[in-house]
Amino acid sequence: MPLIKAENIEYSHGPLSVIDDISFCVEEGDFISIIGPSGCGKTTLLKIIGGLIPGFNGNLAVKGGSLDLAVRRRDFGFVFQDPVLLPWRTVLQNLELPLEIIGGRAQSDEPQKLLGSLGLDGFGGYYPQQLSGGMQQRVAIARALVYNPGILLMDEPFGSLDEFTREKLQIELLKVWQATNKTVLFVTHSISEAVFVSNKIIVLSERPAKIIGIREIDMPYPRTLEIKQTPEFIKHVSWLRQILKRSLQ
Amino acid sequence: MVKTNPEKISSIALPAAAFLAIISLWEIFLRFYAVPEYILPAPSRIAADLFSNIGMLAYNSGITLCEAFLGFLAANLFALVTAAVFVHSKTIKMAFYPFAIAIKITPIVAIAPLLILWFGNGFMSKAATAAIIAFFPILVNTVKGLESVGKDELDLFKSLSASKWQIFVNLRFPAALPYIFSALKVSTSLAIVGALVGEFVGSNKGIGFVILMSSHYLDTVRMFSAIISIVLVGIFLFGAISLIEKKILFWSGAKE
Repeated sequence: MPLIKAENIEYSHGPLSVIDDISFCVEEGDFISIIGPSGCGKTTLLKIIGGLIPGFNGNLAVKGGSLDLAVRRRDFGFVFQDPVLLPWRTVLQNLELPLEIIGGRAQSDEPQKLLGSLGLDGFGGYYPQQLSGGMQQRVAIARALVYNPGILLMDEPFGSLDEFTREKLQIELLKVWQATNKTVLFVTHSISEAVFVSNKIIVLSERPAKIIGIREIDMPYPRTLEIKQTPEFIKHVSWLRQILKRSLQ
Repeated sequence: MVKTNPEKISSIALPAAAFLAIISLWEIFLRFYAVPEYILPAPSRIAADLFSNIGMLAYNSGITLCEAFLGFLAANLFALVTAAVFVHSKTIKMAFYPFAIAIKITPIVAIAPLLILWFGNGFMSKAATAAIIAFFPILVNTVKGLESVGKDELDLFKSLSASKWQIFVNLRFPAALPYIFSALKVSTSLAIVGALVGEFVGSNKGIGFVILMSSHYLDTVRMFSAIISIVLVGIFLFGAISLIEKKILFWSGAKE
């Protein structure tokens, strides 16, 4: 049984059709990227899967149960393009926020552990605005992991970072993903980022979004930046670029 | 703690020098021209009156301060609750917002006699006038502040299945604080205006009463002492709010 099974998902915003008949499956442990032209509805699709946008048509099952149940089980951890940290809370307090909301104080050493594994040791007492953009995004990732959800939904999480920070965080995200055995759905508009991090890529068309291609990236993990020079990597990138180009014509 | 940089010194020294210059010119002017004291008394006479009646002035200022502050607190509490309700119910907001605006438009002087009739000649009627005049700015800004939270923030809380109360306490209210504080600074001085208006309309103590009496007796010296006293009260309230704001809003500096 797939972890997430989406069948014939359709969504309109008023008279505007945003998502048109999308079906796909996510297996446990997948790292799936969703790419497509900007404004095509990638983010909307991610939010529908995460239960943030009600009122879509189609079937969405998580672990064989309803989406509602999955949301209440807190199966999803969100990471947005902006870090969305609360400026009146320290880094550590930001990490504790989900635990406070959920009310489960049991795993309370989790925030400290996550600070360590995301390279934030010693920054727990800082306020977010004292950190760089990259550091803030690490905190956001840690916050999404702190209550141990099975599925990470990431909406262009590295979109506003510089290239170096971006590559560094990609590698760290992959490490965390492998260590924790999460399932990741990752929205991006960078083709090479998608190829680098994921084992499967879903390509969407312009709005209304349709799936125009699914690509398995069968390069082994752990991946290093060197693979970006391999013919295999370049082949994936150019295949994806072509199919996107064709859809835009 | 206090850095003695030149910028800071001149920011205190310059206004102080300007103040001294104006006072001196005023004093010298009165030495040369015979202006009757009931039109414009000399600063030296006002200072003397201020110091010899410091107890009486402090007592009456204290009364006005208490009236204004109680009204201010009541207005805050009521405005905060109203704003919270407005943010969570569009229907209630639509139904009652016009009344809030009506309260703002109604001149406080026009309803002060009514409030005296309802709440008596004493403390409560002044607190009521202070509360009514302070209410609107806090309401408007609190609503604006509570609605200022971004979509991403709300999505974050929704993804955690947070309750409306949790969203209010952990997100909306703290996010509204910068808005609330800028309204508080406006409404402290409004609350003092409200208390004074109440005292003008009917009272037997408070700084408003002192001003009214001194005007009956053409005691302009006393009037000036009273005005200075109430200005000091206003500065004190404003300063207190600013101080609390600095402590609480350490995180928001960059935003404004």
